[in-house]
Amino acid sequence: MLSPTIAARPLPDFANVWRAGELGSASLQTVATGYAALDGVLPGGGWPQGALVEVLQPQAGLHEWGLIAQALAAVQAEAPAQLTVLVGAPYLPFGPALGARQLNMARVLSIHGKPGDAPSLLWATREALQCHDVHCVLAWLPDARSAHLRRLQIAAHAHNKLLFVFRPPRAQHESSPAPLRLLLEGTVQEAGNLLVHVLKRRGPPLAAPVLLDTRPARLSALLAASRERARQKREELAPVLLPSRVSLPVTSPESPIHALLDRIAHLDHH
Amino acid sequence: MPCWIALHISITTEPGQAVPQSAAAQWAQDPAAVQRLLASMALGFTPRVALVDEAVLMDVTGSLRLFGGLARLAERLEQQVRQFFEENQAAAHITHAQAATSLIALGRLRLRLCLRLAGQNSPGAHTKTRVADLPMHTLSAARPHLDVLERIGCRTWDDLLRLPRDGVARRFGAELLQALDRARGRTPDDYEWQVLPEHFEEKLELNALVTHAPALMAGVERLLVHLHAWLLGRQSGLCALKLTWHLDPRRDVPPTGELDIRTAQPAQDLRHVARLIAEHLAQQKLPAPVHSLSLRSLVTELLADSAAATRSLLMEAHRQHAGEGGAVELIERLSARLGDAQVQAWQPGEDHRPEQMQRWVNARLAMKSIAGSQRPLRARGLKRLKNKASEAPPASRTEALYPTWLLPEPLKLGTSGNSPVYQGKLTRLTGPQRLEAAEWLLAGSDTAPAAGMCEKPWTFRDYFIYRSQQGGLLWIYSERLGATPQGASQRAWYLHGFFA
Repeated sequence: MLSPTIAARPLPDFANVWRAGELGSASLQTVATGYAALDGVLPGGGWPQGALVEVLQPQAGLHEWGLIAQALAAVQAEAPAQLTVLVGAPYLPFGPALGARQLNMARVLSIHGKPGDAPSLLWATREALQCHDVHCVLAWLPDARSAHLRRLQIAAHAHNKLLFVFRPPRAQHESSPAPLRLLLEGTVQEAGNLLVHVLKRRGPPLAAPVLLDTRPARLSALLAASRERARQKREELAPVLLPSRVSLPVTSPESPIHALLDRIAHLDHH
Repeated sequence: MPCWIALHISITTEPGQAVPQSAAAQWAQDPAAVQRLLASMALGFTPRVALVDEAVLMDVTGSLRLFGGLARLAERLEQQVRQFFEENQAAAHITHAQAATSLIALGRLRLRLCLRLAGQNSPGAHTKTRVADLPMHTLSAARPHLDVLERIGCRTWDDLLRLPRDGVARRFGAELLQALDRARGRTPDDYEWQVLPEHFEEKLELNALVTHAPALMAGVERLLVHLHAWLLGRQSGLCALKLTWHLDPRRDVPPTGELDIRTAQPAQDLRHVARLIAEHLAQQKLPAPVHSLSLRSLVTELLADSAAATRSLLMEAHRQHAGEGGAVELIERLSARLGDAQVQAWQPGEDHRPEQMQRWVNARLAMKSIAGSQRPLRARGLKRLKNKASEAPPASRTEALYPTWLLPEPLKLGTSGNSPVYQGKLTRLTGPQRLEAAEWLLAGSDTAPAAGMCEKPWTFRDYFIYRSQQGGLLWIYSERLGATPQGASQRAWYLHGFFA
């Protein structure tokens, strides 16, 4: 029979032991995501290096860059000679906009498969993971199965690469070898535009999604300005309903539109 | 002081693992082929290499300083040969002996081989065998007369030298004396030196007719082994080769088919080349059975420098750079299987139209800039090349207000009333942002021929940012009203990008 004192004694702290009640972090090599809120809920405080990160989203091409670009830029800055490989990208990555997010487009390689040839994309992903001049692989693999992902996970682990695989949300109910699974959901809120559900992580399940604002500052400012303008227009049309707002003339330099436009201009020269 | 090395090699394969068709199994039955391979590799160390009976003789007098002494040269040679055969699953027993003349080196080698056969393999004991004590049978010229020499009590070279010269010449012929003189360095050695051809070209008859292209790889690999030895001997790296297969002449098809393989960096380790050939062969269809293969080197590049010879850090770095798993090899392998057009690299363009601001080009052509060299190689329009051939590449513009994804072709959207529809109703957030590219802007572009008008000569667009029902931001433009005849009647909306 177990004596109660043994059970009460705290377990020794081993670096390689992960307690299911806590976030696994000790032995994990990670890359900061650039968002403090997201770093806080990921084991190790960032994207895991040498592991498959599975990202589910309703439609390919909606949220990838906002989520990953900051971490990618940091990784590229660290090792400027290394390549970033995109496999099966849904559209053309647009250099000027990605350049504004500090990505070095000259070090990006984009690989397309022949239409309807899913195995060649898997092959290309594995080849890229095995190349020592590659530090990060982003793969859009809507047709990949769990067994395929397992091989990718093993390759990413063996070669210690960052690997993101983007899949549709119907994959949610399949088993996955990825240690980290995220589900993305667009949202329209003042504070952010992306909800990240953490479906699976080394740690206790996360009940509430994380809200991120992934847009660049200038774009956010522009959107805020047009929102402000739309609201003013609405208020002008219905001045009776909100009389307090109309007291501020539109042309005055103190109006919120001007303030916002000034902010855009300032960001521009920044 | 002259210095000679005599080498002998024997190949053994473990009975369990030897594949009947493999190079290793062939070598076990054909010592002459192995000897020739050894001579090829020896040519990487000195140009004076000769095949004599069962041994390879090399005069390394001129190479000693370059390789840092006899001991290091011998060690490096042995290591290279051993590695070469190990890569082909064959265990090589290399025996070598050195001396001041070729015949003494050969004599010592033979003595050593005899001792090894007899099982007295005590290294060091026989290395310093005095020349005078070498037994008679180690001299080739004495072999026809061994019985007589034995009977008159001549067992060692020394015994023979003590006999009067004219008597020996009368009894045994002049050759024996000449050989003795050569062994003592009194008369110069003249051998038929081995020379490697300028281009490697070898034909291999296949054991059986091959109808399936990937099955040719077994033959190709055997040819590549020889090519590898040739490259080692010439201290070169391979840049391009041509593989030709000869089809069964009884069929009504062209007699040969061929394949060109090129690599961006000169390669001495041919595993990457073998993988490229395999990728290309996998896509080949043979119209008739193949009975033989030939391999020819088209372009090679000299890798020889003192670094290569002395195996300094520079060479190691070079090897590592060119080695398995580099970016260049990745691109070549991907392009070989998927097709050149499927592997793309990014280049900036100088234009105001979003679709011209960047180009995704064939990565194999833009390889230099990707492989990490500091000066990027740009494939551009001819006109631009003429104008600013030596200028720096255009600085890529960055602009946060552009979308991160661009559609390859603008997608025409349906309309509901006067506004566009894409997967449901859209909400307009900002716009318009006006874009015009008229005649004079288009003059320098690649898309507009100088005189003729192309289909869409002018660009008048108003860009808007819309929000879709899923919460994504879309970049949508409308052809400006009145700019085109159709535009006057109805507004056409196009989806051009996503803010992701």
